[in-house]
Amino acid sequence: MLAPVESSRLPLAAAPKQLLLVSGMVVAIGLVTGLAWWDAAREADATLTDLGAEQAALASSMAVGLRAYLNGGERDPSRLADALLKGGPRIEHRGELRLLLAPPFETALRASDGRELSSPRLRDALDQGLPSIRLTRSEAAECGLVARTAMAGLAHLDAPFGRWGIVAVATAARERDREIRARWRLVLGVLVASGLVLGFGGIALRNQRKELQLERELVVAEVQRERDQKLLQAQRVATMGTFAMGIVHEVATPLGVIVGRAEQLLGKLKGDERLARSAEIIVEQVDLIQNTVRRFLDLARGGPPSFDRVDPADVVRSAATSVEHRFAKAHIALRADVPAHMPPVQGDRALLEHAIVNLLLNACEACSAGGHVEVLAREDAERVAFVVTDDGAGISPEDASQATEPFFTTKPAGSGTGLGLAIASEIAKAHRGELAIASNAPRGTRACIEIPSVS
Amino acid sequence: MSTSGHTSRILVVDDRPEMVDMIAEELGERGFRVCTTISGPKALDLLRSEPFDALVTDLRMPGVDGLTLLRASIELDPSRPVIVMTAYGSLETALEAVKGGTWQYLTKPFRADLLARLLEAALSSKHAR
Repeated sequence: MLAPVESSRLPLAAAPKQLLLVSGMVVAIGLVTGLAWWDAAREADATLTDLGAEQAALASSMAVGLRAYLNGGERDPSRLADALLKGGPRIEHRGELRLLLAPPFETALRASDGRELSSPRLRDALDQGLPSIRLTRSEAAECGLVARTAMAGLAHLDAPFGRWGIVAVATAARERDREIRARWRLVLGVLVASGLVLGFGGIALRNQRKELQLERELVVAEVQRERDQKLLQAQRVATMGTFAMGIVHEVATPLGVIVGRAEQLLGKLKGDERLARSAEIIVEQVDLIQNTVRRFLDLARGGPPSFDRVDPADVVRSAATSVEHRFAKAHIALRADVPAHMPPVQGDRALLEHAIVNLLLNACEACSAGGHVEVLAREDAERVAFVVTDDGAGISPEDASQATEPFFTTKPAGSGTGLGLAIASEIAKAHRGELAIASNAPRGTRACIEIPSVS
Repeated sequence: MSTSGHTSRILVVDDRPEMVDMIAEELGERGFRVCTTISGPKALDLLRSEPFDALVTDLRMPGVDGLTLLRASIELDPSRPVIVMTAYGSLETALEAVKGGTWQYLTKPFRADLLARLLEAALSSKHAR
């Protein structure tokens, strides 16, 4: 049994290519985003360092102010510290910038609001003479700032009472917020740009696919057109051949009678030379007619029909193959069903195939889109049957009885020659068989060519 | 050319009456006893019911064709000569599939003369056997 015949499809390798392209784009976008993110992080780090430097400068300027106080003659360190911190609130920003003083001989740091702060890390940094350090969120909160990363600028001053330490602590909250917004802007920008690229890329790809599809359809249409032409050519040859065979057959017997009768006359006209010659001319002219008819047969068929052993299954398969494109175009399912082993028939392969093709095309035209046609070969006693059934419009008993007559057609004018079934019938007769057309219950038509098998 | 005096019975079958009439006359003039029919089934009945020395039949006929008659004749009497008349030499291969029997084919149109000679030769070789 053959698989259902489908239209031939050309391979389309665009799908894997597209997948590769999209993957590449996603990786590229990820890479660009990652790089930009890394750069933004580095920028943020630099901002923090700058902030630290600013705080260190502030602390240094405070140190200059402290020196001025020292030069003013105040000798009580505690009062000196209070005096110095009194000006603090003028400089400080609530929650964002604070000033701390580390007087000599005290471990705690003093804030302008009088609070004492114990920060071993700031103390260590002061002792080490570091210009600035980064404070964690909790350390920033301890300094009375918002709980965000902060930078502390450090300065010290050696005075008669010992070493004074001045600390300016500022959170990087605003910078950080700005950075975060900048990062999101970056991500959004990248995403929008990527979306645009992907969108336009997608449209371009879709257009390209459409073009490919169109190109493919054109190729398929071209292939179908070529197959149609070949089929038409084969049909013409077979039609001519079948007619030629019919003509040869129809003409041969009357010619035989003419020759025989002329010879009879010839025998009786021995005495009359002129009449005898006339009878001879009749016989000669018959030979001429016979030669002409035979030449026509040779020309039409490319030789006389050759009756060989033919495998019925081969005939069915070839016939189905040569019309499958017509069925695909009309959206009609064609199924070929032949047994694995069949007895051969004596016949002309091309003619038999042509007869089945005619039955198939007739069935195809009888069906509307979505219809089904089945062709099968069966053996029964000493005969082989080729059966084509369809679930199309069906046929009335009156039409069925006339269907094999030449030029009979139920199709609209111009769409059928009315010769397809006549030729199939003629081919069946040439094979000592017959073509029967009948209604196929519950719907459609059944056409059957039955010919003797080779015993 | 005719061998008068022999009384061989020949059955001539062709669906065209003009053809059987012409052959019957030709063979009759040459001394054959000729029985004719234009019906294949009738010919089959005649072969089964009456003794014929030879069969001359057309190949393509409606109903029962020449190949069937040839096979029937071989089945009934393999030694009986059969001459099959064909319109084109194309069915030679189909005929060649027929095993046994003594048969030949003649492509139409042929000289009546030739048919008579073929019959005489076939019948004399049959009698020689």
